[in-house]
Amino acid sequence: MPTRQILWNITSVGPILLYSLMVVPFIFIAFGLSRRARMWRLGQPEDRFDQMPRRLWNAFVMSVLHGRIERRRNRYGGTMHLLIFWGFIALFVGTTIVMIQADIVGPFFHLTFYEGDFYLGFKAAMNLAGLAVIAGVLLALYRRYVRRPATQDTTGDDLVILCFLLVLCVQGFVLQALRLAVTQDPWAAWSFVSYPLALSLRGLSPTALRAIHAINWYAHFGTTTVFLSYVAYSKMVHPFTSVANVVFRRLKPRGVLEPIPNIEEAETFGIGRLEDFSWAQLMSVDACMHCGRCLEYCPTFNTGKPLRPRDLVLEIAGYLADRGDIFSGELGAGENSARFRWGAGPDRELVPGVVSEAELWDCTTCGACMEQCPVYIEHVPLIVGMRRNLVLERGEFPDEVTSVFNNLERLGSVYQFPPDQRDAWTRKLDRPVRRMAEAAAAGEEVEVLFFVGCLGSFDARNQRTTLALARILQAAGINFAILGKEETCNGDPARRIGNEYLAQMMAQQTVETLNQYSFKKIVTACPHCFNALKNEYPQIGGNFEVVHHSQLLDQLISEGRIKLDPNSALARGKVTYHDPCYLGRYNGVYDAPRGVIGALPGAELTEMRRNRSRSFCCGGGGGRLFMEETRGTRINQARVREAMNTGAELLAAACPFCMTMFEDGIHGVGAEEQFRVLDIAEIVAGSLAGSGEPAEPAEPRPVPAP
Amino acid sequence: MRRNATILSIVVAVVGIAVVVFSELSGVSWPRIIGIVLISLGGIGVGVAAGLGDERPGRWLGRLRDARVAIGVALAIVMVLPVVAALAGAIVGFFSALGSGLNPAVVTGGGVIALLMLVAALGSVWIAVRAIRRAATPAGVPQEAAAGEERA
Repeated sequence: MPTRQILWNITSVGPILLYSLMVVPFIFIAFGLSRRARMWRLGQPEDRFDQMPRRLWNAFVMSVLHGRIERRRNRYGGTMHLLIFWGFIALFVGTTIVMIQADIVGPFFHLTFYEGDFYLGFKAAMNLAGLAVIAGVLLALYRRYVRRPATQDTTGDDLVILCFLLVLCVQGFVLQALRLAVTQDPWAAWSFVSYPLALSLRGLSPTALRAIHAINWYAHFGTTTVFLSYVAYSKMVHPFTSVANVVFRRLKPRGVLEPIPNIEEAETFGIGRLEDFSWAQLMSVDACMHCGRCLEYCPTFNTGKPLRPRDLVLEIAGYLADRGDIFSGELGAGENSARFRWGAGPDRELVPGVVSEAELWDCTTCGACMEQCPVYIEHVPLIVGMRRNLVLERGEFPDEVTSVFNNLERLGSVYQFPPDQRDAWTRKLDRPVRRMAEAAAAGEEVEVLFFVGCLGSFDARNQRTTLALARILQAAGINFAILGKEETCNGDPARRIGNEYLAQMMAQQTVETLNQYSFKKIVTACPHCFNALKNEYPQIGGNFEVVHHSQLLDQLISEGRIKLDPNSALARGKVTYHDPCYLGRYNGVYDAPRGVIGALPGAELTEMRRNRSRSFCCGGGGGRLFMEETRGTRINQARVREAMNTGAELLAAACPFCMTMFEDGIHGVGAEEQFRVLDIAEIVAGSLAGSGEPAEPAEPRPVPAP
Repeated sequence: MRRNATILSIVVAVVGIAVVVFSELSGVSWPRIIGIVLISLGGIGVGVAAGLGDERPGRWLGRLRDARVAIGVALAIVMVLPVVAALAGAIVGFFSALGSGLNPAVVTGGGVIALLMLVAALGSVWIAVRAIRRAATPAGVPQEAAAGEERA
């Protein structure tokens, strides 16, 4: 009957040492993990224990089944991790099975399941698992030494872990081969890696083989003990921390920023100290394995700015480790995970001692980092939290933003135009546009409330989009109205810049205005308004059905409520589409705008390399539209070049922020003659049967500065 | 409270070790799992009590950290040396095994595997020693970030 003697060639000293010294890794692992938990508890309380079945299932799918690790653009890294992960799990389970046989089933029940066909299959499976780990480790080493992607930095810790895994597997195969060389099991070929090795070893004498086997057994056991003791102080802690972070991740829509509760009574604002982070945020920075996925589509990393989301997280993690008094990383104070600042000590100010102001203000809040992170680290809330502290407690923010705050406070708009100019654009339409107040006074039902937004109301370029959308709504016979002079900024720019007080004020005002009226749904051409109205307003009692104009247009076209002219000159040839971050990544609207472009007769949609959830930001989010871009190269120009590389002559946008950035970017790269950007509403309006190009906008009059 | 937990955990671990020793020396195998469980619980208890405590890691831990390069390099060599010896033996044995009537293709496969594993083991030591030594080098001043697209 095929089987083997467990602990073959090992005297009783072996198991005594094996089991007694198990206490060492248990102490090290328990100490490291509990010190980490203690470290996380420095943060503020936050309830992340709801919906546990959903959380656990999600963690299983995303971590264990690699749902978020193995992705289309991450096949190499994903496959590498899959091989190591599943190989390692199989070997761990295999070791446990042997232990169950040796220490439970055999002694207590005098039974043996470790024999026969099970044994043969087990041996083959273990050989396969060992091979998988070795293959994964070799892929990892090849990537770090040869491929060297720009997003990946290799630390000593990374290499030591890989070496540990490689050596442990080689030791396992050699041990098996040494035993097989002596016992000459007739079924040895099932161990298909060790068996050929065993044949080579048969050239040595059995005595020598036994001696070498015993020494190697102790070496293997010693290596395992050291490796397990190192786990909690190295990146190998990630099976614990990363899975925990996936379990306890925020389940709200990603576009939602948590408000400062009861802001009027608050004594501190935002994140100014380590203790101002929530425990879950501290756990999340500790879960970062510096894989660099967050950098792949990051606009600041890709244009040479100081902000690199991975490094920002690791800087906080390094500070956390210093404060929490744990070796995190960590072979030394030299090159380690948080290579810039780890080991610099616990007595530092969060900003700028740990994170620089430039890092915080460069962020466009595009969410590309969060979309890519395999363990759901949320970088943007960390950054906005620290911005809030700078703005509300220290009064420190870029000079250019001062006028935005002033305008919002005085005029209810990011621009310096009086509220009575908000609806000036309507004068350019042939047919009048109703105001909600008029409709309410007349007791008329309104189907759609068109929330125009500041850019669509005042910015000359974006007014063309507003006019186009209004024309389409009229052409489709939709019963719609606008707020007109009653509309104010929804608060999104203030919130993303960090002025939460102002943002809440603006949002409250807008909700109160909207709640006065009766309508079925809100449509907006601005993804920033869309995200705020849809995802953030429920926080303050504003529960509305909100659609983006791309969704409405797609619906109108598919229902045949608007007819497109097959001879339209606006939509000829190749058109490329840019996914706005607040529409795509934050709200998952990818197909509707493509549906609109696909319906245009004569237009051929050609995708940019970075599209859909991997779209590259225009550079205008997070209040960056109102700030100077002084560091690195221009984000908008990088995106315009990418769009032009598709061979398209027309860039379709679906966001006024993107529109402004791309108009500027096209001028910046000097491509005005051969390339242009249009909103999808402009393209549709210009392609309506019997229509021409949208008319020039009304010019609002600016008000004097305060 | 924490001190009591630590003492209790140490006692549990020591009892566990005693049970394992008894089991091995007496040839009665069933108590061994009890010893293993006690050792595990004792170890976890000691680690958790120390980890959740307010005390900074002990002086011995600091010394361990100071000596990390020497310890790391020594461990890397000591842990890998036996497997290198075994694989070297396999390569030596390969030549005599070739003429011993065994399937030459499988024996050759074994020789190749031995050679590859030897390279992997030696390479691992080389990489690990370099990594450990490099890790102890002070990081210095942060460098300006290079644009990802330029680096790529």
